[in-house]
Amino acid sequence: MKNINLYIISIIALFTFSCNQDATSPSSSTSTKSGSEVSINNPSGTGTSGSTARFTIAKNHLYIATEDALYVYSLEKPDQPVFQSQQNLFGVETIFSLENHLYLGTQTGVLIFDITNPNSPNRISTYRHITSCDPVIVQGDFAFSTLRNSSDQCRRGINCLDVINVADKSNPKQLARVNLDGPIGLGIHNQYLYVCDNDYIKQFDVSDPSNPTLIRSNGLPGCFDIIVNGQTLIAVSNQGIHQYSIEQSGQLSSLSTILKD
Amino acid sequence: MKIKYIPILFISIFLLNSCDDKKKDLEKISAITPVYGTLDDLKAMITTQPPRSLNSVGKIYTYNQLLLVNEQFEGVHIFDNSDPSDPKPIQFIQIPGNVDIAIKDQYAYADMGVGMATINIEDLTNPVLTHFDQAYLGEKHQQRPPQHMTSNFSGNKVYFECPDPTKGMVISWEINEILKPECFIIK
Repeated sequence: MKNINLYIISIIALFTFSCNQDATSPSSSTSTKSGSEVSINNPSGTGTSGSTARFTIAKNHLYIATEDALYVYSLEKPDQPVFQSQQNLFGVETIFSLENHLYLGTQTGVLIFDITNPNSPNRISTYRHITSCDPVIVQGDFAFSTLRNSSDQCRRGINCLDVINVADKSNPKQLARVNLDGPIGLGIHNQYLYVCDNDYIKQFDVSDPSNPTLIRSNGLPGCFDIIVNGQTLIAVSNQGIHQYSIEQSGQLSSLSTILKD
Repeated sequence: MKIKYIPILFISIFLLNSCDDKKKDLEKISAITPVYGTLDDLKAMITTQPPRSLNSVGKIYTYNQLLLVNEQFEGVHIFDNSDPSDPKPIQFIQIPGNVDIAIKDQYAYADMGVGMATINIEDLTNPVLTHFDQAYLGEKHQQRPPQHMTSNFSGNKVYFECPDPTKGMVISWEINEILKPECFIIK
C-alpha cells in the first residue's frame, strides 16, 4: 500500500509541476479552425493507434482487448457493430493487428491469434516471458515487445526490449533482448525502432533484428506511447504531444509540441 | 491496586467498539453509485465542445489528417494535423469514461467504461451516436464500476451501490456519500 500511495503522490506531484511550464495550450492558439472547415476529406480507411491500444480494426472487424478477454465485433454494418465472439484471457494490456494476425501483449507474454476467420480468432501460439507489462508491435517477420516492471501489477517484472522472430506464427522465438530502464510504447520506421524508455525516446537500428543497436536517445520526460505516421513520429508524454520528423538517418527533429495546460 | 481497573477498561473498550460498529452502519461513506439512463441520455452525453487544453493525456490515434488525443475518462481532443509542425485544434468531443478509440470510415468506436459507443463523425461538429453496446463488458458491466474509478480509492475495499436492473441501464458511475452499501470490490 505504501508503494501505491507513493506512486499516486508522485504522479500528482508530476502533474502539478508540469503545470508550471509555459504551455502552448490548444485553446490559446489563435489559429483555431472551426470544425466545419475541416471535414474528413477521405472518409475511408482505418486509423492508426499507438502501441498501447486496446482497440484495433482488422478485416472489417473490431477487436477489443479488455484485461480479461478478447471480444470481436463485425463492422459489416459500420453504424451498428454486431458482437460475434469472446475468449477469456488473463492480464491483457494491448492489441496489435497485422495482416492475418492479432498480437496481444499480456502480462505473461505475447499471444498470437490467426484471424483467417475474423469472427473467431484462433489462438495459435504464445511467446512466454516472466510477469511484466508489455505492448507489442510487428513489422514483417519480427515482433518487438517491451517489458516493464514499473506498474503495480508488474512490480516483479523486468525492464527490457524483446525481439521475437514470428516468421512461423505458431512458433515465435526470441532473437534478442536489450535491457532498458522502464520501456512502454514503441513504434517502427523502416530499420529504426523507437522506444519510450522512462524519460527518453531511444532509437535502435534493427536492420539486424538479432542485434538491435542503440543509436541515440532523445530526452522526453514521461514518454509513454508512439505512433509512426510516414515520416512523422508522434509521441505522447505526461507533458503533452510531441511531433518529430524522421530524418534519413532516423534522427528525430522536433516539429511541434502541444503542452498540457 | 491498578489491577482492579483492568476489567473496567476492557468493558469500556468493548462498549466503545460496539458503539463504533453501530455508528459505522449509519455513517455515510464515500462510495460509487450507478447512474441509470436511456440511449437518449447517452446520446445527450456525447457532445462537441470548443477546443480545450490538454490535461490528463491518454492514448493517441491518427486518422487521415486528424490527430486524436484522449483526455482520460472525459473524451477526445481533435486536431487537424495535416501540417504536423502546426497541429490545429478543431474541437473536443465529450465521451464520458473514454480511454480507447478506433476509427474506420466515418465511424469512431469508443469505450465509455459502461459500454462501447459507435459515433458517426462524418460531420465533426455534430458527432452522432448510432449504437451503444455492452456485450464486451460481459456480465459484469451491470454489476460493478470500472477499474479507473475504484483505483482512486485508498484501502483495499471499495464500496459501491449494487445496481438494480429494474431501474434501467447503467450509463455511468459517480462517487457519492451514501450509507454503506452491500456491494464492494476487493482491490
